[in-house]
Amino acid sequence: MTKFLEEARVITNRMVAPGIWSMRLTAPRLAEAAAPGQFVQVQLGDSGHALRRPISIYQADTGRGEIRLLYQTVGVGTRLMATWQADRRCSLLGPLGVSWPVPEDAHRMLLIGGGIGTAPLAMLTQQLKTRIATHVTMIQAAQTAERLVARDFFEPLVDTWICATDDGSEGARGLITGPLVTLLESTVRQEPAAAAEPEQEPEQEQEPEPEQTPEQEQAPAPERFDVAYVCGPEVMQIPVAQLCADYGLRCYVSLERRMACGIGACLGCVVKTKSGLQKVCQTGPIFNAEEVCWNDNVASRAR
Amino acid sequence: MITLPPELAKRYEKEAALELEFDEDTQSGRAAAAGSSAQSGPAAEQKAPEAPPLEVDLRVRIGSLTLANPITTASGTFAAGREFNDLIDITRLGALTTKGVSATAWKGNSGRRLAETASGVLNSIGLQNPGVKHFIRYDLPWLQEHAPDLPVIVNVCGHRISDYTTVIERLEEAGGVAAYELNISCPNVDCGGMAMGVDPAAAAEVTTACRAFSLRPLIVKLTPNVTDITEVARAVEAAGADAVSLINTILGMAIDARSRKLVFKRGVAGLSGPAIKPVALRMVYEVAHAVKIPIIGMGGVATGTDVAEFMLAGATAVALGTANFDNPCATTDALDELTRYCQEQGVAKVTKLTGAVRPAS
Ligand SMILES: Cc1cc2nc3c(=O)[nH]c(=O)nc-3n(C[C@H](O)[C@H](O)[C@H](O)COP(=O)(O)OP(=O)(O)OC[C@H]3O[C@@H](n4cnc5c(N)ncnc54)[C@H](O)[C@@H]3O)c2cc1C
Ligand SMILES: Cc1cc2nc3c(=O)[nH]c(=O)nc-3n(C[C@H](O)[C@H](O)[C@H](O)COP(=O)(O)O)c2cc1C
Ligand code: FES
Repeated sequence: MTKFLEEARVITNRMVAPGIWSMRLTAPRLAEAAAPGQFVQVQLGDSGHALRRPISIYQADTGRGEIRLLYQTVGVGTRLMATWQADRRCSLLGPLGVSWPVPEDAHRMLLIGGGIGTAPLAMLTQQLKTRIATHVTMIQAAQTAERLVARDFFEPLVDTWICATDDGSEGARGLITGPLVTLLESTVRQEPAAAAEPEQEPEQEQEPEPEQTPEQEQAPAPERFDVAYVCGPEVMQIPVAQLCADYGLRCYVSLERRMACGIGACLGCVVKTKSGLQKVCQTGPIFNAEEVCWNDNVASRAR
Repeated sequence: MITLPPELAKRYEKEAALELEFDEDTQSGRAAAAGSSAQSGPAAEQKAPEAPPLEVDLRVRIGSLTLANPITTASGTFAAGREFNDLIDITRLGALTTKGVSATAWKGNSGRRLAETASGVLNSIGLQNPGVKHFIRYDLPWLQEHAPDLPVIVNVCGHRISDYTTVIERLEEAGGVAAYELNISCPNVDCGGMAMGVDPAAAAEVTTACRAFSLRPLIVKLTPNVTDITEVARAVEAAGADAVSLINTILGMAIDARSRKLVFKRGVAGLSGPAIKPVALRMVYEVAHAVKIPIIGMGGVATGTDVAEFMLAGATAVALGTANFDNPCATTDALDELTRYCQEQGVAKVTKLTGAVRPAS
């Protein structure tokens, strides 16, 4: 996958929820090349800032030659971006990183997004909806109902949409793990041992005709999920990854690290994995959750 | 003084013979330049508008090595070129300076490794690298295939002197390296690294030891974290260094007020980027007045004008590091700008810039 610099032009840039902005840019080459889960390095274009800002590609419209970024104003760089007006030029470096893996044999997908972390799931959802016999469930979490980022995009697109908010203003109150456990439990209702001994392999083969399985004649449990895709704050990712592991659910996470080059040259963004130190900007940002050494990494994040 | 195995000596002779013929006065650029460029400046303004752009000789010389132009990369910001190859034509660089290479693999530092500061970056990478064997197997062949004529300067790091000499020994066997840059100035490792770079005697010792293993240009990279950088520069010159490069990062620190914690596990980290340029420029100027060997200047260089400033201060070649993060084309952009600068200033040989700065009026 080749990366390049593209001089993009802002079309619109507006606040879509408190502190959350959506920027539409003309960037035909990136729109063409971007794959779900990849990101760009946005140049702030002001000599006071030595580093670009990594932001996921939220949407790409090849026909119009446009991409969209969805970003939260958390610091000096993102606040500067929020001041950008239509027609402002900005240099984007991308598309960077790998895209979400979509295993051939997976058909029941679970998307889990917290806060601004839903952004890199949008193109994935579109991709999944083009596959046949693919069922997409999404659990979305945010601090408040109005911060359910891009809810208007996801809710109509996915087959099942569930939400949780910290303040209970919509959906379940509290952490995303509440509705997640309920959902995962519902898929194993009739096989209580499943959590202890995951056995997803044989199940996938019988998956097309569930009605014919004699044991499941009455009240069939929903089929188990094949893959979970997770993005959001690391404090959310850790328990979610743990739950997926407990339920034997294959889980991919999108990680965030401070970046300088964004292209694998500076070693500033490494994360500890079972196969050694990996660069989030190049081998990631998407990792198999089982590969990540969560304990070694989390404590080291000062944010 | 240096005794080399005969087959190695023969190889050097062959390579030396293949080298570009080089104009005599370029070598003594620093001394000669001051007078001549004083007159060449205003000449540009009198140039007829239709005149073809001045052909600028951009070649510079670091010891026995001739570079097609003075631009190189600062170690650790450019890996070994591969990652940037989509974005720029790396063969246009005067030389490529690699990430630090050690005798065995180093894991680098744990915890946060980066923090942006006002016009700069603090890093605590800790010289993570997969070791010299990996470099020989993975990076050198790639460079030889994609940029066979590009001089490769390998940044060498170690905890003790034998680590440095081991790396050089392995690379001499492998071939394909144009010069070595001894990193005795990394603030991000506890053992070795900067400890050697702050002590003139230790710096001289590692230089002497490495000198015995190669006839290729030996560049010693100096730390700014000393009271008098010229002392170390003089010491390594006397020990046989062919050039010095400066500056490595400035020791800094970051604290998170909210959590009341140090941002970096080691507390300290290395500051780079535009924020350090004035310090770097001053040190290049000081060292230029203290030693006769060429200087590779760096520290906050981002543009062709910055390159010219470092050359005027006394540098023969100039490296761009942190600038590559904001602008991956910073090196080639700077080269184009430097060329235009020379044309505008009527400088036909870029070496004339070296040390040609004049006092303020
Ligand atoms: C692969 C990737 C994709 C991302 N996608 C999005 C997205 O789609 N929308 C969005 O709002 N945010 C996204 N982020 C997080 C975003 O990069 C940071 O919020 C942003 O860099 C903060 O910059 P700042 O100047 O406003 O904050 P400051 O805190 O002032 O930034 C200081 C420095 O720290 C870095 N930094 C701070 N927080 C983060 C962080 N969480 N991750 C990485 N670097 C950080 C900045 O880049 C900058 O170099 C993504 C991060 C990564 C690594
Ligand atoms: C991320 C990063 C990694 C670095 N790694 C090395 C290294 O491996 N060896 C070395 O000698 N210097 C290293 N340096 C220092 C640079 O080569 C350079 O001396 C310094 O950053 C000043 O130049 P700059 O302001 O242009 O970056 C590193 C700097 C940065 C920012
Ligand atoms: S940000 Fe430089 S290696 Fe990932």
